[in-house]
Amino acid sequence: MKFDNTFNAKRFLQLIKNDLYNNRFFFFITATAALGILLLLFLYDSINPITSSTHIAVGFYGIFLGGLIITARLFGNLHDETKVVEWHMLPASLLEKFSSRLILSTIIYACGWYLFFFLLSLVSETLCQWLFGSSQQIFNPFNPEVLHATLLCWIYQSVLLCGVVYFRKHAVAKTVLVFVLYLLLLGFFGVIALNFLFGKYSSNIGFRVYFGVKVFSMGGHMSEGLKTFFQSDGAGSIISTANWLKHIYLVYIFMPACWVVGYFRLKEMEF
Amino acid sequence: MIKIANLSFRYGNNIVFSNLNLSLAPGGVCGLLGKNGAGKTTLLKLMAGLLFPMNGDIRVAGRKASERSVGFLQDLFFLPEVFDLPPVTPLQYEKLYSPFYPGYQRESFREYLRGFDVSIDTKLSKISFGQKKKFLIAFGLATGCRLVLMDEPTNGLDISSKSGFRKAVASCLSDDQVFIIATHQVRDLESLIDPVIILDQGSIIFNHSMEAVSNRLKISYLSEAPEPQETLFFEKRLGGYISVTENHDDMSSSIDLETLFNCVVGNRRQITKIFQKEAGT
Repeated sequence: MKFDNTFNAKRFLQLIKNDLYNNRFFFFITATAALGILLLLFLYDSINPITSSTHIAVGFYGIFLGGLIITARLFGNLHDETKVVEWHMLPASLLEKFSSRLILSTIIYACGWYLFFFLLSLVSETLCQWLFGSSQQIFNPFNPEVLHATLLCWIYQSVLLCGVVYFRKHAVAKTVLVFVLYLLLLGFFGVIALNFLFGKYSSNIGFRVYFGVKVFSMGGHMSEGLKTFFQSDGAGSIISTANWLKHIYLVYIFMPACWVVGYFRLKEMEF
Repeated sequence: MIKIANLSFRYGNNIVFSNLNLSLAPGGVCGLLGKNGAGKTTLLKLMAGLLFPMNGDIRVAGRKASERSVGFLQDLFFLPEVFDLPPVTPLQYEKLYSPFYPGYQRESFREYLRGFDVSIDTKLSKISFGQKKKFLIAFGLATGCRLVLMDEPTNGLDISSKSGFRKAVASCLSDDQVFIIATHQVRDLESLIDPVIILDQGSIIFNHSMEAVSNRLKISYLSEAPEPQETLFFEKRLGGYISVTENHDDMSSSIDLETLFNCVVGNRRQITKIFQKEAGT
């Protein structure tokens, strides 16, 4: 009975249904955009056959942009008193309301997008073969690169969610600013740590920030001894451990932490 | 139904309520009156759990408002003065939102919409503010919630809709429900409100039933201005004067809420004395 007050599957599913229905125009526009992109790719393919990486890139940018927009749509208007009272007064627990929007903007949106993109690429492939006799690579949603890109997208979405829930005014701009500041600080302390560890064997260790597949990367000039060390088997395991730790941190600590902060911010929000 | 104990609330340095106490039993349409900035909307929001008190406790049917628990929300419908509705028809809205209310009455909803002359298949984004408000009132009444909070419900309603609103509220109110209506439009709701609560400078200065009011105060229409010392309050009206005096007869008089409000706000001490004296005897 008590758990039913905290989480009820029927209410949870109804909330998802409501948000899907109320955002149907957005999903329609997203689907139309996907259709347009695929049409362009289809036309391009008739001149120059495309590779699977093009599909992955298009799939990634689709989920990335669409994911950020749907997150901003679902969580960004929670400071608007005229819109938020209805949502807050709806008889469902905050856990149900929050998790339904979180799952809709991440898992459901990603599954929907990939399924739609996969089906479109299948149609495109069939048409290409029939009209031009060439073969496109069909988009494979289970490609590890796609799954990796999806996780990365969810990390960015979690940052945006936290930001738009946390900040009342100019939430998106403030979120970007804070996130860039966070990356710069992380890079700065990373450089200090690297200089501390490898400073004797290298020079000009610095970092670059970019918002593609990697959040930021380190670079510099290593001495020959250090290069030899990094090319050795021992270093390989150190690097893979560091990557594994980064993955653990981003997926299991950083992303859930953003969600938790967003949830508690909503819990204490007044109107 | 509602118990507010030692409530304190402020916006920044502006103290709105300090040690406010209120208890409301079910079975009435409570009119919450007050000047602009008296704290009517704030009090409604505190009751709805949209604002949290600095100190004190607000409970609705035993549930703490600030926790916004599912049971609390199933028992409460809040109609804000300004709102936004999704671009759906009333029927679609009903399908999407009624499953959250266990006591929802489908037939009543349609009946209220018919009474308000709101089309069930026109998108809410395409109808006027007054129509939207009538739709939301109909939905709120149909939810079957035990506590219905309304902030200026008659603002934006046309003359026939105001009458429809009074009828709908009067017909739907059951013994285990309480409606709280914060309004400036007292004339729209004169026949509906009982009891009357008047907020002034963050305190409840008046909280009495209409029966008590009509037993203890007498409102008369005079052709000439009365002597100020003979009345609690008087003001010029078209064709004469309206005056409020203490009711010494056993005959009760009809109550003009606007005059009552002005009288209470202007003669807080004397009115308190009269009601205390009567309560004591």
